[in-house]
Amino acid sequence: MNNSILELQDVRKSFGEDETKIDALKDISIEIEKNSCNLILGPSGSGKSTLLNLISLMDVPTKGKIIINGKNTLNLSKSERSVIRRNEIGIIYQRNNLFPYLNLLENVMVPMIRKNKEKAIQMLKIVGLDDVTKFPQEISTENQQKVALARAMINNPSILLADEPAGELNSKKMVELIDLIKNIGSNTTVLIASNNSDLIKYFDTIFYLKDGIIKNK
Amino acid sequence: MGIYSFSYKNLRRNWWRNTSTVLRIAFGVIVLLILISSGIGINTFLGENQTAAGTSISNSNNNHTSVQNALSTVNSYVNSVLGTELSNSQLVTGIRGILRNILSIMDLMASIVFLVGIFGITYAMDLNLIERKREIGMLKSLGFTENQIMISLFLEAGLLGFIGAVIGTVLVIIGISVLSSIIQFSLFSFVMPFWLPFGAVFITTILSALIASFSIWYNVKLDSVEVLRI
Repeated sequence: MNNSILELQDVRKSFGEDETKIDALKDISIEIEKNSCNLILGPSGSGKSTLLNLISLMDVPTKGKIIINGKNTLNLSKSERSVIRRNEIGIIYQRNNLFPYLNLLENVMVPMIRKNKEKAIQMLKIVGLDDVTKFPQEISTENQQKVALARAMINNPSILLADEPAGELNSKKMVELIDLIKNIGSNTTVLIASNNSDLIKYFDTIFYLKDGIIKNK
Repeated sequence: MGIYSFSYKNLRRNWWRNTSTVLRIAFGVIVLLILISSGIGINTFLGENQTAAGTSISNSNNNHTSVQNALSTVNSYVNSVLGTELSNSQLVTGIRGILRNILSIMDLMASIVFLVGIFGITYAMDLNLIERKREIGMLKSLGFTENQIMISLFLEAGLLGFIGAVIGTVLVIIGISVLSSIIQFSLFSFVMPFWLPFGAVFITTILSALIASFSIWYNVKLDSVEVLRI
C-alpha cells in the first residue's frame, strides 16, 4: 500500500528465555497511513510501550519486520537506526522528557540537525510558550510536555510517537495537549499510546492492544 | 546547542563535585611538577640530565666556585666527625648516590599523588553518569548515536582534567618564580623545562579521559529502553 508510512509485519517481542520467557507482543501486523492520527489503546502491561519502542527503533523485534517510509529496518546497525530516529521520528514520553540544566530554547535546539535559533523560538511559540529562557523546573508539567512536543517536532519528523503524553494531566489539559499534538505537523503521522479510553473520539484510527495482541482496529 | 556543548554545561551543573575533582587534580599536578622540577634541578646541579631545551626558573648565580667552597667545608666537617679521609670527589659520589635514591622515592611519591588526584575523576564521572542515565537514554531517543554521546562524555572528563592541570601548572610556575626570587638557594635549583607544563596539561587531559572511559562506556551501553522506564 503506497499510502502507508509505517508497516509492521508479524512483529513479535519476547523477553527472558525458556521458562521465564514472556511474549510482550505476539505477531503484530499493522499498517499506518501517512498523515493519520492513531491511538494505541490498552491497559497497563498490554505492550503499548514495547510497541512504541520497536517503532521508534529504540529496541529490535525478536521476529518480524518494521518498515518505515518503505525502508526495512530489520538489519540496520545501531547508528543507522539512530539516524532514522533523528530524521524521521519524534518521541515524547510520559515524564522527565527535558534536560533540567538547559533552558527551554536549548532543550528544543538539542536535536536540531541544522542549528536555527529562530526556528526553535517559533516552534515554542506554536506550542504556546514565549519565555524561552525559563528552565524546565520553573514551568508546569503541561508546559514541559509542550516543550517536549516542540523538540520532537523540530526536525519535521514524518512520525510522531507519544507514550502516555497526557498521563499526568487533568482531562481539560489532556484534551488541549492531544489537540496540539494532532495539529502541530501538517505532514506528520501521529501515533499515541494510552490507556485512557476517553481519547477515542479524537483519533482517526484506534488499535486495541491487549496481552500483546491487536484485538481489533 | 549541540551535544558537544553538553560537556561544558554538565561541568557547571555539578559545580561542587566537579570543583573538588578539579582541585584534587590540580593538587596532584602541583606535587608532580614541584618534585619533577626540583629533581631536574638537583640533577642539573650534579652535572647530570642537562636540560638544554629547557629554561631554569631559579637563582642562576650558583657558580662553580661557591659550590667548590661549600663542598670543601662539608667534606672537612664530615671527615672531622667520622674520622675519615674522604676526598671531595668521593664525597660528591656519595651525595650523588643518596640524592639519586631520594629523587627516586620522591618521583614515586609524586606519581602516586598525581594518580590519586587523577583517579578522583572516576568518582566524579561515576556519580555524574549515575545521575544522568535517563538523560543518556533520552539523547539516544533523540537520534544521537552511542559514539556521539561517548565523545561528549570523554570531552567532559578531559575538560575536568584540563582545567585541573592548567590550575596546578599555573600555580606551580607562579610559586617557583616567587620562591626563586625570594629564597636564594646556592646548591639547589628548580628547573622548569618548556615542555614540562605543556606535557603535564596534555598528559593529565588524556589520562582523565582514559581513566573515565570504562564508566562512560558502561553507562552509554546500558539498555536505553530500561533506563527510560525509570
